[in-house]
This record gives sequence, C-alpha cells and structure tokens, in this order.
Amino acid sequence: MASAREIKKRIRSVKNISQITRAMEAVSASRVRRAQAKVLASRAYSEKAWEILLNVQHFAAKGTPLHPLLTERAEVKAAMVVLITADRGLAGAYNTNIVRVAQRFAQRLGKPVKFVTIGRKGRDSLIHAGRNIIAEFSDLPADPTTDDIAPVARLAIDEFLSGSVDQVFIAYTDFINTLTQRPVVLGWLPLIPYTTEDQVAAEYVKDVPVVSGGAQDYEYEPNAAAILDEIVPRFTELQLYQAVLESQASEHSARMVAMRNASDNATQLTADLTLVYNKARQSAITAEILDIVGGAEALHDTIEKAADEILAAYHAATQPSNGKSKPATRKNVRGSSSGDDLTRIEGIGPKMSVALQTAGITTFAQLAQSSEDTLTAAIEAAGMRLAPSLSTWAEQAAFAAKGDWDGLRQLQDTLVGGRKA
Amino acid sequence: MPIHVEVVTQEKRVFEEPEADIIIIPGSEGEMGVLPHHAPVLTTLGFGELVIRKGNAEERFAIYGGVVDIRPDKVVVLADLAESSFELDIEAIDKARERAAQMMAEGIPEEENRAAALALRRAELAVRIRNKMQSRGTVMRIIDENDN
Repeated sequence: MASAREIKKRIRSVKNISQITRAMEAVSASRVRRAQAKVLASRAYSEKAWEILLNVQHFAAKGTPLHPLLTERAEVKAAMVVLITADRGLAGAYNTNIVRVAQRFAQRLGKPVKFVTIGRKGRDSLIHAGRNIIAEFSDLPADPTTDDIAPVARLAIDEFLSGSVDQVFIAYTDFINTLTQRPVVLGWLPLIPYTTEDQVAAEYVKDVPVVSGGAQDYEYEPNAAAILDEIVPRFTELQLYQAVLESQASEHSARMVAMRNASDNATQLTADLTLVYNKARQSAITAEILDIVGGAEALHDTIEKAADEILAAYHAATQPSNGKSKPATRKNVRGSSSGDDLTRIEGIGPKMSVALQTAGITTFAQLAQSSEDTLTAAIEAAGMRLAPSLSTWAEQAAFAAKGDWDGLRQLQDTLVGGRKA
Repeated sequence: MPIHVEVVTQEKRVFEEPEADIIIIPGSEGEMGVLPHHAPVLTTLGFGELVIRKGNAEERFAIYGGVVDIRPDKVVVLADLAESSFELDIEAIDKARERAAQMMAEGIPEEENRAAALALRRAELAVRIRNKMQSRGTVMRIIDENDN
C-alpha cells in the first residue's frame, strides 16, 4: 500500500481535476444553449430559402436553365466531404464518431474523395488515416457568424463549379438532445435532395426536411435566374453554417456529459482514496505503537541480561573456591517467591501460568517433572479448559530448567501452537 | 385582410408581424408597395428601406440585398442583412463609411475592393436613412415582439 502522504497527494490532485471538469461542464452547458438558439434562429431563413428553391426549380424544369449549383451531374467522378469536428478533445466520443462516419461514407462512395476539414481533431485523424485533405479550417470562433464560414463555402462552390468534384457532402453531428448526438452526412452540392442506393451509406445520410407551402406560380422580378443567383449562394452558405452550429451544440453537450461523468468519477475516486488514506493512517499508527512496545521489550530483556551478568560476576568474586555452590542468579534471588516465568513455554499464557502457580508448579524444574495427569488436575482445579499443547510442556520445561534457551528455541521452532507438528 | 410579414436574415428572424396593412419593399427594380391580395411574386432586393405599416404605427428596416417572397396573404423578406432604422449605430456607420472610402481611395486588390464598395454602399444607405429619420421626427412604432 502506498504511504499515507502519497495517497493524500493523489486525493489533492483528483480534487483539482474535478474542479477543472466541473468548470468545463458549466462552460459547455451555457455554450450548448447558445449554439442551439442560433440554430433555431437560422432555421427560419433556411426553410424559406429551401421552399423558394424547390419552387423555382419546379417551374424551371419547364425549360429555364437551372443555376449551376442546382444541376445534378450525370456522372460523378469525384466527391468532396467537408468534415466538421472540434478543435479540442475531452468531448467523449464526439470527434471519433463523426470521423468514423465520414470515413465509412467516403469508402462506400467508391470514388476518389477530397476532404476539407473544419476543426483540428478531424484534420489530425484524416492525416493519420492518409486521406486526401485539400484544405483545413480551424479555430472557428466560439460564436461563429456566416462571415466566418464563408471561406469554406467559397472553396466548396469553386471546387464544384470548376468541375474538379461533382458532389459535395457535409459530415457533421446533428444535435438531437443533450444525451444524443447523431453523426450524419448531408448531401450539400448540388443543392438537390441526395439519395443513395447503398444501404450502409444511406444510414448516414440526413433526411431532407419536408417543406410545406406547395408550388406557387410566381412571377419573377426581374427573372428566375436573378432570384437564384441571389438565393443559391446564400442558401449554400447557410447549410454549412447550420451544420457548424449543430456540430458546436453537439460538441458542447458531448463535452458537458463527458465532464459531468469525469466529475462524478472524481468524487467517487476521492471517496475511495479517502478510505484508503484513513486505513493507511491507522495502520501507520498501529505500526508505530508496536515499534514502541517492541523497543521497550527489547530494552527490558537487555537490562535483565546485564543484571544477571553483574550478579554472576559478583558471586564469582565473593565465592571463588566454592565451585559446587550454585551461583545465585538474580532470578533465583528474586524468583524464590514468584518462581520462573512459565509463559516462556509455548502454549502457556499468563492465565495458565497463574493456574499452575496456584497448583504449586512455579519453576521450570517442577514443570519438567510434572506428569500430564498432574497438569490436567491443576488446570481443571483452576476451572480452565485443557490446553492441547499440554503434552509438550514437560519437554519444553526440561530445556528451560537447564537454562538451555537455544535448545528450547529449537524445540519451539518445530512446534505448532505448542503441539508437535 | 391583413398581411403576415416576416423579416429574416441568415442568422435570425429579425421581425414578424401577423397583421400588417402595407409593406413597402426596396426591390432591385425599384420600390414596390405591397397590399393584401398581391399576386405571387419572387423578386430580388436592392439596398433601401423596408417599411411595414400597421394602422398609424410603422416599423422600418435598412435592407442590404436579398430576396422577397410575396404571396396574397404573406410576405417573407429574406434579407442578406437587415437593421432596424431606429437602432442604427450612427457612430459606427460614420466610421465604417470613412474607412471604406479611404480603402477605395488608396486602391486595393479586387476582392477587398468589392467588399469595401459594399461597405461604402451600406454606410451611405444608413446615413441617408438616418437623415430621413431625423427630419421626420418621432414615429409611432409597431411593438416589436422579438427578443432582439
């Protein structure tokens, strides 16, 4: 587990990220509304213009030469796709989706396709895919006007009129609602409803709006061609303008949703990390306490050993000739009343040792000589449960009584919970 | 029978009045007054002032090109650009005119020349409308229901 400090650092950075994502969410939310309002506002013109176009076309079919932008070419040799994406990422699958649809559609056309990109993301993806990009426009303002997209429309119209392409499409993302955006391809030039036989390609094609109003038998002032000259370029431009606005609304709402998810995830992650942090903090405290206790214990042992050595040296000095007499250890001196520390035997705890002492077993030597029956009686007398390790106590105590601590340790190493393994 | 009139530009619906009495349109071939039951006409717009009257009140717009769809009961003005005559920004117009005139005088490339000429024409129209407005005094306006 990472240390508490590292976790704290991560929590802080996650919180920072969530602040940023929250801010981006708020910004996108307001931009969605603005772009939507602009699409709606421009719809009035496009509906009217489309109506007039259809009308003029309806009557022009009787013989008046059509406007070149309205003329369908018999043979389509090359096409052009205007791909509208965002300049920036962090908008969920928004950019990927529209790029994928544009590429599939281009593939389905089965003709050489030139691309014009609006937005850096689309440009980068197409360059990566090795597509033929003839122009790119990026850094559109957040609040575009028709003037801002006019150069793109000019380019498309020029390409179409010069005959280098025979069809022009706009690949953009239709804004349906905050959660749903649909990548679509719009048949742009010539300005007639685009239909395709190809099932797969047809899925991407946007339906042409049905226009009410019917065919009126108009008088043209000065003439139909002049009307078309006025309205066709405007309408062409407007279709692109609306596609850009729809795309922007989609981009911002996709980003809004993505950022909301990110904020939610950040909140969740903060909660999770806080839990981990608290655990880490707690275990750090526990470890510290154990260290202190262990340190104290070790110190205690060292002091006892030192005291024993001093006593031994003292006895050796005072009774140099009396080899037989048992050197009085500190323990013997003090321990005559309290006996040996029986808890050193594996399987005997503090309570058990009290029980044994009550029964008169206070030293290792006594314990070594006690039969299992004696021990059982002593334990039962104290009202305790029999220890399963009982059978090895005598053996362990024999080592302890001799002061053979190494031997005891070796024996204990082979035991499991005081029992023979 | 009143006429339903709408003025829209590419970017927004500028004005809508369902019950106008007469509309004076700055057609490219000359001004035309449209009364109810007019024959269906599609015509291009020139630079000029669009006037919509309803009773004693009126609404005026500076129109800079476009198309108008006239039907017996409905008129839709698809303007390239439309500004309310009452809300013309006079300082901005003067500046634009000076700038355009200066550009024209200095001689500039073809492309920009067209744009400058257009700006100049627009500015001149706006000035003309402004002068007319000033000499006419106060006018009762049709209440503008739009949120612009």
